Amino acid sequence: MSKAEIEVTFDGGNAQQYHPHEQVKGDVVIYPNSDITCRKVLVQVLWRTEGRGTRHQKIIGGGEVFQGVLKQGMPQTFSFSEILPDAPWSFQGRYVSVAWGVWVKIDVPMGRDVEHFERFALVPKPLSES
Amino acid sequence: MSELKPTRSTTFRRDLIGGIGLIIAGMLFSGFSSQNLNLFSTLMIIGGLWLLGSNLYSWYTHSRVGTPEVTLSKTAVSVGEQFTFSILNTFKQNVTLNSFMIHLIFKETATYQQGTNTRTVTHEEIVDSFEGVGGSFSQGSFLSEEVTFTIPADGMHSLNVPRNKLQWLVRVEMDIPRLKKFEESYEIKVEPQLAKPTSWS
Repeated sequence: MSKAEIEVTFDGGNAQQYHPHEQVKGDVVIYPNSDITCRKVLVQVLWRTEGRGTRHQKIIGGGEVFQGVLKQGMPQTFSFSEILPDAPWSFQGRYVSVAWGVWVKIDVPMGRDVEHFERFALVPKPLSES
Repeated sequence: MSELKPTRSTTFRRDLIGGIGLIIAGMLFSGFSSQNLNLFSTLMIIGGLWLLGSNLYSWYTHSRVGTPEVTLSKTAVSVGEQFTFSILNTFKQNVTLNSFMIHLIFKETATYQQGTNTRTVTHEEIVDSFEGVGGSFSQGSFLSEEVTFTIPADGMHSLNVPRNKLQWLVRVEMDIPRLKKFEESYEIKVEPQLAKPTSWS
């Protein structure tokens, strides 16, 4: 069993589709399954390439949200909020894909880190809406 | 109108250097003596000669066809936008074309590390094509064509980040009897914005 369960929820429902310049906002809830002494907890909004190529990623915002001990049975909530840029749009190709998401990492010294990537999509705004 | 230059293929230079390198390495292994040629050094020299020959063959085709002048109706294109690609080629020698094609291509390029080697994989999708009329062209005669393409409204914009590339290309192909196929590709920069449908304007 993992040291902790991580849940990411987005404000305004979980359609998880955003347009450029919109705000992506929500909460990260960490449910520790045991006491975890962590160096830091990171919550970041980023995009990254996926597929065959060496991964490239760009962090749009966020950072360190916690240091110390996450206590078993005491869920911790951290909020995030970022304005999304023009590009790149989400894309799925054969060798190159572009994935947007909220990246959560519990940095555990001398142990395996707990990581979670909750995806959302950045798609262009249809012209009829603009 | 903006003038386009062909995308510089690193393959040509790499194959040329690789070919010369293989020949030299093969000769070094054999101690520059034909009596010391073993299977390994012979294979290296044959491989080098094949790479060199293939590149010279391509070079010869280009020297007969010439260098096309290519222009684009816009400096930057949006997703869903139409653009016109114009080509004007003056043939340097008498040439007969079996076929003449212009393709709109979406290309993915991914580079990754495998052990100590750097590998690159590509995938190309022909989105649209135009077939021109072949025929015989004498030295100094022109081939001129204007083609209108549209970047699909559900397409992706260009992306160029380390080790990952998404490109839109227009590729000109000329199939010439007894010569290597003439190919030149031109990159079209597609911006991350949607174009208004033409019916709106």
